[in-house]
Amino acid sequence: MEAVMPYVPIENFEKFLFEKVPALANWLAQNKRVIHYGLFPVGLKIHCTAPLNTLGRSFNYMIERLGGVEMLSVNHYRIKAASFCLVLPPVGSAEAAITLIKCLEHAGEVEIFNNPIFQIQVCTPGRLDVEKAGILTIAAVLGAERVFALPARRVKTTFSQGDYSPRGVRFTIYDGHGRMDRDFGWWRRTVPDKTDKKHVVLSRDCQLPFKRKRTDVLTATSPRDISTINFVATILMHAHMSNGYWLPVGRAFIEVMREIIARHQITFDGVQWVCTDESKGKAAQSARDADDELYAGVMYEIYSYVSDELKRLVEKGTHDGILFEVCQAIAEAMRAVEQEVRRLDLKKWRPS
Amino acid sequence: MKTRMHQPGSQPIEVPERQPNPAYAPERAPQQPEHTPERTPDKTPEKAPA
Repeated sequence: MEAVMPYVPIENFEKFLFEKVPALANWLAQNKRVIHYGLFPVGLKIHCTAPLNTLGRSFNYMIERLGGVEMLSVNHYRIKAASFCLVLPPVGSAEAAITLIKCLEHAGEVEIFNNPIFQIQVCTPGRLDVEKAGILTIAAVLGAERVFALPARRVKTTFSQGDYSPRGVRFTIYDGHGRMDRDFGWWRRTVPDKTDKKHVVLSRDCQLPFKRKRTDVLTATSPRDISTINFVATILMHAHMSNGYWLPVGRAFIEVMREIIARHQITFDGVQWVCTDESKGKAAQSARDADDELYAGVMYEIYSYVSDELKRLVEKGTHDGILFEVCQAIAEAMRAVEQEVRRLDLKKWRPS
Repeated sequence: MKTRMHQPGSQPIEVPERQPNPAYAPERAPQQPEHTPERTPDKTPEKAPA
């Protein structure tokens, strides 16, 4: 059976937002399909732990205009502790995704960014392997704008257990086989002359090379988090696919992160950073439960370490340690991308 | 606000919840006020991104 796109179409948002926040909505309408620097488009899911009727008249009116409670209940997926999950349509860039949330903040008169009742899930096309999903998780957690103690059980979703697309209890999870909007630009590397493999050319396609696969991170709370996750997930996916234009940047980032993880003795190998096993039955579920427990323990270790680091940084006032190293690795990779974009003399590209 | 995390067989620890990442703090930060003012999005002037 063909899965239905579970999100409200962007046109529904536009109609409503043009009335409420015309300047932002106008910008969004012009930029919703524009990709930046060949990074992947961004899909967002906003999980809310507060009941809908406590969020005020404006927010409830907005939900009503977007399709009502029925629209929220079409999608069975949400963080288990959440009262609802608002699935936003994919947009071309982190900037457009952030603007879309700002529009909702204005129109609904509710603060979404840096509000503990909201947890933002950032969706990226393609499925990363276990190692790269681990690197993405660590980059998202330690490169977050606000370092937080989020026990793994707080991201238990309605798809964590069971026989249909079990995803385990993870910060990074795969899609539930939903269909994908593929009409976004994609930067691919090609080698025109097989005898000169060093000569690489940028090929710009109008469609994503994925039909349904995704890797999502559930930990975002701020605009910076959305940009960081979108960037890191893109370069890792480009490295994973072997023909992504940002493959060298992705590979260099993986090397730096491996070195940081090893030097700080973070338990990494043997951890199922993303749940890949979708087998049915009790034995498979027991194995996934054991993986969940190991994962929760490793995240506990990381938070304990970060907690000690935060105390040390406050006491000594130094600018070193794992938090600085991870953020620096992300910043260096971003600089490498910007440098290459300058060389290419391309800033933005709108698919025809 | 603190979150108390438990793990079987280990002592519970306290980790501060949502503490600003020091890696993003400005190098010469002005003296912090005791209470950071909350942002109210509905009062922020509407402005399109540059």
